[in-house]
Amino acid sequence: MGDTTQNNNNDRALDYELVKRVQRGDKKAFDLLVLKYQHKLANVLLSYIHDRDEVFDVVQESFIKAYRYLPEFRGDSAFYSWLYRIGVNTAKNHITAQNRRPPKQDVDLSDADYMDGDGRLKENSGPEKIMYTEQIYHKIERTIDNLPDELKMAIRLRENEGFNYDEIAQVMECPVGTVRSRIFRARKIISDEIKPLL
Amino acid sequence: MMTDKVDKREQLSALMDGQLNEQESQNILNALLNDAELKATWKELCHVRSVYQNKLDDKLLKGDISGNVSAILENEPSHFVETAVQLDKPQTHKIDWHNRSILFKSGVGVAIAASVMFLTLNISQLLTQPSTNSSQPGQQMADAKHDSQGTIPPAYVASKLSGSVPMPFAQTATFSQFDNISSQTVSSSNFLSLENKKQYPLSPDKVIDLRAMHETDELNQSDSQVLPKKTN
Repeated sequence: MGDTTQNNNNDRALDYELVKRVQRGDKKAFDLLVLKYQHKLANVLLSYIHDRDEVFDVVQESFIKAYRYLPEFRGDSAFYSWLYRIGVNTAKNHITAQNRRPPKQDVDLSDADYMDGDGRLKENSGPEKIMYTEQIYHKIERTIDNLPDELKMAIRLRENEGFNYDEIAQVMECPVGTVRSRIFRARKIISDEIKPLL
Repeated sequence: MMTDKVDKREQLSALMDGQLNEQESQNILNALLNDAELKATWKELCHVRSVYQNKLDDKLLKGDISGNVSAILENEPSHFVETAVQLDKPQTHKIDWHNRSILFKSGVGVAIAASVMFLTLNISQLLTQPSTNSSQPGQQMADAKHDSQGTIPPAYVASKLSGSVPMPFAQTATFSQFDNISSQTVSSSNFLSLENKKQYPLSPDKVIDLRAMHETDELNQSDSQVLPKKTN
């Protein structure tokens, strides 16, 4: 249960479907990929570029490059790992262009969320930043804790345990359609709660 | 209507989790790409997931480059990658090859028919042409051999063919070699000449006209207008 590989495959299939649509001339499909990955990529590139205002410039440039190179993408790797490589190279070029020294070694994709460009644990330094991050994250946690039990269980099994809908339906002894509805409702409540913080 | 909206949002959430089947995914993606409200929902769901899974800081969350990227991409050309279409619709690929096969077969058929017709023309020309008309030593030798054996040597036929095959841009030379052909054969040669004329750099309209005439059996009427007068 909670097969992470299966979840990754599902994610990859959706990304590839969107990529194929872009390759067939549908630019709007690329917007969905930008919305899906902009923050994740920005978070990774913070390992290379510590100025948060600069990060989004590099993220933007990375997505533009990704769009231009998209005809060459054949789905041999996951879209995000492909995008990640473009992002890291763009960040390094950005650092070099500013006469700064790029990091000695790349951050592994699987560790990217936790490490900085020099292979150290990301400091996420600054009490102010830690406070805001904690504030949002704890807001989410508090919101989930306050959800009705059936919504709380569904979203926890999905986000924390990585269960698919069939598995959640078995655990919760309800139809898959009900699981789908509960997960969406939980997410909607969380979204409404964190909106004022964004 | 409201239920439909909620259902679509739920589907969007399930799409993000990769929990829809192929048909459902396609349908909701089509709706998502053309519905601003659904896109806003998608954005919210992406936000929640990003915060939850990546513990993003607030400055990153407040940043949104999607508007900038789509504005920049407005000026970029759209992609049209053929392989993507092939992966998605293999049956279209097959149909294409089937059509190409038909075209190729019909093209080969026309080429064979034309070759046979030319061969017939040249053989009939050889048979009707007096041997004294041969002006070149090689032809005289071949004629002599022809006369003595009663058969047409392949080399002779080949030399004749190479001299008389009407090149698309050398039709006058071709016509001079058809002097001794019977009236019925001339009619056939005119047909071939007309075919050749289609390959000249006419304006597209004229080419279409000629083809249209061919298709509506007006070819015989137009022959006299299109073809040069044959001189005896």
